[in-house]
Amino acid sequence: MERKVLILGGGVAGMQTAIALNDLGISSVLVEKEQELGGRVKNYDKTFPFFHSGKELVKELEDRVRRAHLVEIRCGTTVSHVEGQAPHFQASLGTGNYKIPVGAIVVAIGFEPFDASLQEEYGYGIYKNVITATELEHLLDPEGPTGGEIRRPSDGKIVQRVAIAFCVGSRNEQLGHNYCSRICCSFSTKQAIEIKERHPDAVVTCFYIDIRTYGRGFEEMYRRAQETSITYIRGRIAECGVLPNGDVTIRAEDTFLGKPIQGVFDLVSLSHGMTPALDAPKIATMLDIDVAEDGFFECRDKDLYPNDATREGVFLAGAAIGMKPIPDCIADGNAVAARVAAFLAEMQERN
Amino acid sequence: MTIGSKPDWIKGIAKELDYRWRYKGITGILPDISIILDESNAELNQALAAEGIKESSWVSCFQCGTCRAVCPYTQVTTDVNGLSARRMLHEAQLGLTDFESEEIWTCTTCDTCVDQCPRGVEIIDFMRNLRRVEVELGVGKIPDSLRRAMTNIASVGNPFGETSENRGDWAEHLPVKPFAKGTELLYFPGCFLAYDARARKVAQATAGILEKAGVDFGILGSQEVCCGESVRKAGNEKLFQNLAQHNIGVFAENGVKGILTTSPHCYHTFKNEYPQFEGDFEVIHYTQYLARLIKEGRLNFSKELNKQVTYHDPCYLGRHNGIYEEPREILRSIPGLELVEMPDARQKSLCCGGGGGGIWLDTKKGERLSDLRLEQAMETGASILAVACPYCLINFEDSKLTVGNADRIEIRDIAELVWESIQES
Amino acid sequence: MDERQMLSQDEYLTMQTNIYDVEARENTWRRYIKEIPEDGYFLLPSCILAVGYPATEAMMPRLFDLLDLDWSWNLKPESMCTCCSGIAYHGDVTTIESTLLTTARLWSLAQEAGYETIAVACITSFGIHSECFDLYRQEPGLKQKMDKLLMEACGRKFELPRHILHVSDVVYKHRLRLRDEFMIYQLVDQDSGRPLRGVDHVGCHYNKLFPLERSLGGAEYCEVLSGLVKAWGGKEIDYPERRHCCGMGFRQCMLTPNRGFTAASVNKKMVSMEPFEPDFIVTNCPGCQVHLDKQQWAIKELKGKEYFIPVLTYMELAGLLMGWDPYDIVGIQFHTVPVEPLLDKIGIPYDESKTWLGKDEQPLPCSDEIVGATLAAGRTMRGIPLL
Repeated sequence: MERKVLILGGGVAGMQTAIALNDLGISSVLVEKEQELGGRVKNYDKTFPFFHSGKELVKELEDRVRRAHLVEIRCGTTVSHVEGQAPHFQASLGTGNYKIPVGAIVVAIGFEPFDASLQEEYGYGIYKNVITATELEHLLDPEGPTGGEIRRPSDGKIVQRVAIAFCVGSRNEQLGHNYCSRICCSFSTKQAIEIKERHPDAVVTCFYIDIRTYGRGFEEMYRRAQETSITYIRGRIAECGVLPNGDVTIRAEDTFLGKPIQGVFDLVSLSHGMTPALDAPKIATMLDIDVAEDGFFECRDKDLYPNDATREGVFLAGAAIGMKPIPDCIADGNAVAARVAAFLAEMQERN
Repeated sequence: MTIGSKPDWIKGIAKELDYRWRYKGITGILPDISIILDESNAELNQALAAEGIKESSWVSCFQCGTCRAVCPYTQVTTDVNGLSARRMLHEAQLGLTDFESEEIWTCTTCDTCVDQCPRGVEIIDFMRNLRRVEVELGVGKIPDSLRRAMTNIASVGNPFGETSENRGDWAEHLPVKPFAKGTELLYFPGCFLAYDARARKVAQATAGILEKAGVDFGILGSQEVCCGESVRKAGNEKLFQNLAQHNIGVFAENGVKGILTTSPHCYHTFKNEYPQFEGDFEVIHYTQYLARLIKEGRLNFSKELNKQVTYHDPCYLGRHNGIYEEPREILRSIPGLELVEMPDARQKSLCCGGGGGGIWLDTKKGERLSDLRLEQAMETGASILAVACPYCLINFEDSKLTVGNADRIEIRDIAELVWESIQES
Repeated sequence: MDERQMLSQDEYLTMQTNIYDVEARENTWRRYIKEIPEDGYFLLPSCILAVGYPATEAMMPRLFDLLDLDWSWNLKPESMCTCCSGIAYHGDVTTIESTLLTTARLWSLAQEAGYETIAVACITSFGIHSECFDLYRQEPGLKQKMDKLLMEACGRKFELPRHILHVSDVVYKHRLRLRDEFMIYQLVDQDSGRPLRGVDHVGCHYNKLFPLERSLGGAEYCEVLSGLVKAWGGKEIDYPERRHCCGMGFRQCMLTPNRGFTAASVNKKMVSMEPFEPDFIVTNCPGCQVHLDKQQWAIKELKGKEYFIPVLTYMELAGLLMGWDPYDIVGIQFHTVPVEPLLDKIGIPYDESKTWLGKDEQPLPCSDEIVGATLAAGRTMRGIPLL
């Protein structure tokens, strides 16, 4: 029996799994479809709620993974085919020529940001001054296209008034995404604080349904945002329109006052939710594991086995089982490593 | 209705579906009620962020609604648009405060909301600052009766417009000496006790008690002016500072070390607000002092009162300054008095409506908090409602005149009850 | 010469590429493609359109014949095409069964003539037909019940139609053919060559009731009218209140106390579209046509603000560009907001003396007093000065 583990996805969860397995003395193959490791977090300048650098975090993990001598890293390739039963899987990489025998498989393929153009009322994609949170993240990045200044796309003007729309694409029956993406309230608040720090004179208004800053340190970050004079209005932005000079008009209701509200902003940022990774269905078929109704992978038991897939020998980690903040992804990596180790030990005993 | 004729309701509809001149009836284009967000209200926002209070406390409100839920005002009105601290905070943040509205003056600063606010928002300071904007920038409308009180205080040092020379007259024919350097305790009765006929009895009772207990005390009479607590809460910061500086000067000149007050409002401002202007004195409320005297055995209760009494915790004694037990100790020490508690006691005490300038306002019948509180007192079956604050005293005496069946309850200040019991018959 | 007119086609006020992504907008409407057959239509005319803007409806048979389409309608006395009962339904004075029965009968008329596609002239009708169609899908036993009722009421049988179209869908389908084979004018300013800016106002019941099943382009970026504007040389305008209802809703415009709402809705749209300087508005719903046209007059009377942007139906637009006589055939004399300035821009000639004439060059019935007063003020009915 091969004591090797196949890890699909080289993001935070995937890398941590590899590191943890290495610490347990188990070798693994880390397969990442892009040319670089790091997944989504490598593009984040700051993470919430402590404003640590996402890039450095990824660099740190990558260092550890590369130094781990039991980890084989394969970037720029995907797993095309998996045969056999646990613990005797045969995985084919790339065009199928390179075959590896593995004992267990870990799925850590991450998520896909919601395509905001599907919510047509915001005009994302059509109105250039309506951007998504991911694009705002790029604008906030000092190494990004505008050097960290928030300039609006249409004419490069430095923003004076920014509106942030929460809950775009999540909690929405019409779009088929009924779940809450959990971290968007938090990262939007983080972005609002960052905008205020770069441009103290700017007016930043957040339009929300609920504030779900649920984690440790998140509520304190929310309070900090309020104290930086960021206005929070409870009432989802209903629609965006554009004026001839590029300003974006919004309509919402201020449910605290019970009145409709209209505003004109330089820039509107849509805090999009997270959807399952685009190749999740393909991987589910390939590995013969179940996908739940919301599109994320199904666990063997939601209460007691949150990191096990529905098939023996296949495990799940990270955002692939539902959106979560970075420390939780790290925890998932450690948890999965423990599960894999236990599984492999059990299989060893049986033989 | 005869068979065959059109029923009336059809005729009504036909009248409505008036097609002869299609556009008859458009009398105007309906206005857009939306709030427009723009920066034109930033100035007012800045005016609201006055010194002394960090604006961060106000903006951290997360609209939970606790303040409105516990506000006593909601118990006397069904107006959904009435006083709502939560809503006013949000409006202020968006620069939409309606300075013409009455609700800015409705708050009695009773501290119930501040006590319960999970975010620690300084709501009373927020209200005070809204009023400051009105007073200093001249927006909105200050209620007439309040304006009169402030004008009087500014000119003659008391809200009644009485001459300042008569401020010590209540002590005529009483063994009360003028304060001089070396006197141990200054007794500061406050404006109501100095001038109001009903409240004077309390001052007289207090003076009698102190004299009987052999306390070395004196009064400053016409030298002193109003403590200014209510004008500060009503937003007149300048007037308050003038009054404070006058009083502090007078106290310092006369070598005052310790001040005894009857009104919890005077107590509050001397203790918590005068130090800001370098007026550091040892301030003691008369209930604390009397409780101490009783413990030291310096008061001799000779007469049994044989009545049931209930006690109303004044907002400025209880919630603002944490004094709950001493008044009760006093009442329990008076022989023959049985103390029964009202439902909303101690921290939950229902405001009488006098604070925050409320004592100077004309509150509509049906919206008076003191009416409600008096009814609560009567429900306990007590025959005496004991108070420890002149505003409560006056408000309850007023309510007694209009609330039904109120003849069976008497309003008495604690000092009056003590005096009654220690007096030789 | 206005300086702005010197800018290139793409850079003028609206649809500036630094603010809009035109390609993304084109991709968005393509999520809602409606299947429109080439021909085989059964035309169901409307009530309000025939009263307010009769020429528009009269042009429909003319257009279909011009395009040589296989179509029909039924106006014979013995089985008259009836109203779809939309006013009664929205005015809440009838039962749903009556509405279902009326539409069933209309469908039966179409099927009797051998057509499985109905083309409706009014958007409210379109909405009624779509809603009734949807009800059969929702309630399984309803078809049998209505079969029985229709047989009892007028001895007819009906089936659900295969396609429910609006006549603007038909015009959209054939827009390129109209442009290439029949149109002699373009939506272009003849002096400067700039494309005319057109606001498309699609009736709410066309694309908001069933965006996926019944509309071309969906609820947000509907294409059925802006496609016409774009194909015929013009430029569409996207402005914040583009999707706002015109406010004509029977409960609003029919009841005197509520009419202020209708006026306010039109006002809101006019205020929003004004910075974009549109040259005309094109509508496909008779209700919208009536109110966008006439409430501009009411706004002028009440607020003193004159917007006076000409409002045309899609048929009138097609008719004008094909060179049909503006008064005899297209019937612009029925408009409150003068259309003549638009004709000047396009370069369509018109004989002003015909403004007072109706069908067959007979004078329009109008009180002498009003005629006299207007002539005395030196103006035609729509404010054009008499020379």
